[in-house]
Amino acid sequence: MIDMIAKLLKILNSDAEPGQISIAFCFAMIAGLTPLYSLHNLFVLLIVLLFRVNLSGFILGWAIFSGCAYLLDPVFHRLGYAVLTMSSLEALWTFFYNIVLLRLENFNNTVVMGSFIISILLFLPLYFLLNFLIQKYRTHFIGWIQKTRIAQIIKASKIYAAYQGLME
Amino acid sequence: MKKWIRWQGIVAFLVIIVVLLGFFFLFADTLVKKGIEAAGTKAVGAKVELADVTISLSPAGGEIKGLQVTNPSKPMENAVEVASIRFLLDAPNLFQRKIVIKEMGADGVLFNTQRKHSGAVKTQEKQSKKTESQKALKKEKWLPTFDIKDIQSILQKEKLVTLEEVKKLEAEINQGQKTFEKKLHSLPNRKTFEQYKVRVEKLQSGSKGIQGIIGKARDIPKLKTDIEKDINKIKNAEKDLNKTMVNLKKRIKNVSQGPSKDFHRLKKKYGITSQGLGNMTGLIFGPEYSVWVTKGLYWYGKLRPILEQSLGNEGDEEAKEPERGKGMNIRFKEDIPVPDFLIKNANISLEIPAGEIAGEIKNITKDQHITGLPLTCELSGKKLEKFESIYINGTFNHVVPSRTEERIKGTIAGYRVQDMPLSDSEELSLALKKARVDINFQASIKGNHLDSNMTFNLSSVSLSSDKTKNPNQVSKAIGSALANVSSFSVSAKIIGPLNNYDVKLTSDLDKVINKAIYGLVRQLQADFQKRLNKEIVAKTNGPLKSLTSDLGGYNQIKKELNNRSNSGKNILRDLKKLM
Repeated sequence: MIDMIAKLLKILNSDAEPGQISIAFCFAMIAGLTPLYSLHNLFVLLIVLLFRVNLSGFILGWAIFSGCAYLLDPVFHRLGYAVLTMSSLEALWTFFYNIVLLRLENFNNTVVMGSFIISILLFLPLYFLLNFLIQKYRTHFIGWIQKTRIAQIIKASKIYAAYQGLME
Repeated sequence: MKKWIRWQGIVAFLVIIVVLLGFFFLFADTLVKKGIEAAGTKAVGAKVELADVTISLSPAGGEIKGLQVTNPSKPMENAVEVASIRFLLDAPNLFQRKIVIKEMGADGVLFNTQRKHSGAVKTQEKQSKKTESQKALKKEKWLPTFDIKDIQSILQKEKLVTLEEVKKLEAEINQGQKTFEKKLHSLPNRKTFEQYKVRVEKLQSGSKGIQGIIGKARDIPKLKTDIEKDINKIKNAEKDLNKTMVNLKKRIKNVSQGPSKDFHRLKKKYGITSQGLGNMTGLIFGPEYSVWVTKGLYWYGKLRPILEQSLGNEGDEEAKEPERGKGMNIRFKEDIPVPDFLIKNANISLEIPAGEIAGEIKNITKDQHITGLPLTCELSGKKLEKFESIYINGTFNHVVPSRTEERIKGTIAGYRVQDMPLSDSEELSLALKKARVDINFQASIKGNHLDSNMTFNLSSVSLSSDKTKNPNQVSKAIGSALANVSSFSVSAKIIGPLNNYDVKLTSDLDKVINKAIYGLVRQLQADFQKRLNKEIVAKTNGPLKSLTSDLGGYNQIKKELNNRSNSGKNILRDLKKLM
């Protein structure tokens, strides 16, 4: 846990563009919330590797969102079930069902569908939110926090020592 | 744009793909093995283990070696063990997540083999239900022993209605007698008539003058009236007494028929009848047959869910929460419907103690409604160790899930039996020393209703009965009769719902057995009845006689009434002479 926080701090304080970090977390959300064996995760992996997406952020985000996925599975199932059994979309799903690639994607699984929908819906909002937060962190938070007494205490703590170790 | 693209990423991506594919190729066998073991264990409820799995890509297929499926109710025993299973897959369907096995061959199928270690699964509930023993007929005393129960103990235990009636009637007679005796006291008696006599004599000897005549004319009618009145009282009492006596005599006559009624009642209750001898076949063969039927149905119950499409609707699906992280697969209409799992054709060879039986099973799938074809199986074997031949043909039709039907029929020819115990109960020791058995069977299960018929034709039969172990006349008679039997047939019918079926066993052995003990039964019946009758008569004779003598009291009263009446009449006659 301490290591994870240190890694997060390292990413936030690095020279990487906020956009790169944000998009890494957004793709990590897709990969982390949806089941790992889903075909679309290969596509996500290709994008993450091909484009300058912050890999550390992606890996860290994937770990965080995988943990969240376990807790949110019942929600994914209910949403996926509702979407897949919607009569207005039945024709679309039937068409997809008869396409081999999409069958391999396992789109007709309720957890896959539910988690995919949620991760896509949250993609852009999360991107903009993280962008905003990272910029705010870098602009205001770092300078202010270093001046506070708490910062002095934290600097003396194990978290900071781990952080320093990573920086080196 | 260049700033955003990391071309090395493609290389990294390709490396990852290659690593994944390499991992798959290296560990596919292990992954498939683990997958089959996990799925099989979950389905069976006990350990399913494989020795080795080999997967090939071209042609798509593989081989499974050393499959062991543990018997859930006997963890140290395998329900089935298969030496080798080879299969060819329909590769394109794999991309649609469908497992379609075009051809499968299974060799060395064994049943009930011993395991080296327990195959119990921790979460498995111990199914120690012994359905076999539950359904099997209990081996209690089932032969009528025809023990002649001690007559005295019967008569001590049972109340004779005759004696009860006699007691009752006796009490009534005594009560009635007392009533009449009391009445007698209130009636005119000898003293009264003596007084009348004196008055008559007085009148006779009275003055002969006019005054005397006038006096007589006045007294005589009055006296006559008094006497007639008293005579009438006595006559009425006599009438009542006669009526009562007639009634009592009638009742005594009825009661005297009581011993006969008591005899018939007790004869029916304690006597020996031939009703219990109707289905000796069921009693001899039933327990063992029931065990096999129950065993067969138990395994049918285990296999049926594996091959059965679960019937339900979408509402039910939603009601069931899936395992966390697994979700639920929603099915849609396919352009070319294919079941999720299908074995089109399986050639199997089974090794049973008698030898090898080989055959073919087709269309193994839970989704018969998609294929439109039922599961069929055909097995046969020839020149086996104990059989001449065996042939089994079966159909498992779940094409229409609401109208399911399973059928099986077959023959086993020339099965040689040796030293097979038929009955080892303490009442009858009977064994089939040797016989040749030809069996025809057919069974069908429609929905939940079972209808089955099996015929066993036995020839070259040698039945033996250990006379030292047969304790009573009946078992001895049966044993002797059966020793002469050289052939017989047994028919077994099972009809009814799967959880409450009736087993009916009939055989031409019943006639042989009934004939043997019929004479014995008749003789014992006659003896019992004779003795019972004698005892009842002895017990009731005395009390019945005393009833008749009890009427003597009434006769005395009648005589007295008669005397008084006559006295009155005599006096009246004398009086009339004076008029």
